[in-house]
Amino acid sequence: MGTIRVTPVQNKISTSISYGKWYMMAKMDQPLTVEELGSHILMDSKIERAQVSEIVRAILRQINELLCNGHAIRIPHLGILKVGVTSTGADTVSEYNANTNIKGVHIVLLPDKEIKDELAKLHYEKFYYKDAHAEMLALDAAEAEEGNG
Amino acid sequence: MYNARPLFTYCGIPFFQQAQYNCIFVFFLYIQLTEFSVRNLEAIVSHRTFAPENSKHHVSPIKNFKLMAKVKISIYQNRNKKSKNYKQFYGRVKHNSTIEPDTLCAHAANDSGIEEAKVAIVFEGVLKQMKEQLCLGHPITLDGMGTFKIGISSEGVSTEDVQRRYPQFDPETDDIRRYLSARQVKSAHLLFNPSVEVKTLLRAIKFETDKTEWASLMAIEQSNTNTEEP
Repeated sequence: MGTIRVTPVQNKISTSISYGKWYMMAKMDQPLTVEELGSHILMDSKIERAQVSEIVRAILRQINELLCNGHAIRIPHLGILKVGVTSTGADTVSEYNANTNIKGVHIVLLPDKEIKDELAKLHYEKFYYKDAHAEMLALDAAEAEEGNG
Repeated sequence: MYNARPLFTYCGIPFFQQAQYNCIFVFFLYIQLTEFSVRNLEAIVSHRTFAPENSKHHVSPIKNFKLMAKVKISIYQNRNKKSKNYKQFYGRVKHNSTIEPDTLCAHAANDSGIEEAKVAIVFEGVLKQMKEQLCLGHPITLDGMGTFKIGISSEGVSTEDVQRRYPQFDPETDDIRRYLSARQVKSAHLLFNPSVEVKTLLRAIKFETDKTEWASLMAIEQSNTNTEEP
């Protein structure tokens, strides 16, 4: 069961109805790369490091190609990846033109039950580094003053 | 022509043997240079990466990715009476099929020339590890595809709310962040942010409309307008 560190942030969008309110935001570490993920596979199986990278790159190439050709892809443990479009409306079918009405293309990730269940079990821990650091410095300064006094 | 005779003289090799040694030296030098250029050529052809991503020599996995991407678009009408765009027509992607993991592994095995069994082991292993690491708060960047990470939805709290809950809180002197709690978090969700390369590929997609489907819709629309006119 994982723990996600969350940090308080204030809404500073003056036009928002929630302007000035405080929210929690997930604090993320440095992103992991495929090489780091693949390192445990090297221990478990007899596959070489170069082959792991080559396989992952081939899979990603195939995912991109299949997605761009209108296929949905089921990714185990995560969900379904597919392409979606953002479109403006037309009053009649004859007025609708895909090339002018479609304004954007994006990738949709539909999470499956497995990952949803895992996300529901997560724990959250409040963390804000800057303040913690400032408090630590203030304590150090206070201790130094006491020592001098 | 490479001549290493001064080096051989320095090493104490007799003059009459230097010609033979020089031939061997030049032959090895030629082999090494050829091997180096072949490796670089392979890297460019098969899009492998030998250099780090931020290096100018980096070869992207999807660079030179020739794509004749076409996506089928179907049309639908907004039937939500509460919507201000009620009865308006919109397009949506008509997906060809859902690719199952086995099929994807077969495609990747064909692409890389590596056995399908090995591809399946790596695919399963990487994804299992991805799920575990995401739930520990680590974002995952897949080179040439994008970044997966966890996002959260939380309840908004104003200064007045904190004052009501904690009477000792003084907004002028106290830091409000001390009084906020992780219990504000309502739920977590999975986010995917595509890479610049994928965004470029998406922009290049052409749209294809199903003419028979659209023609039937237009016929229905025409008949409706004809019945309304009299």
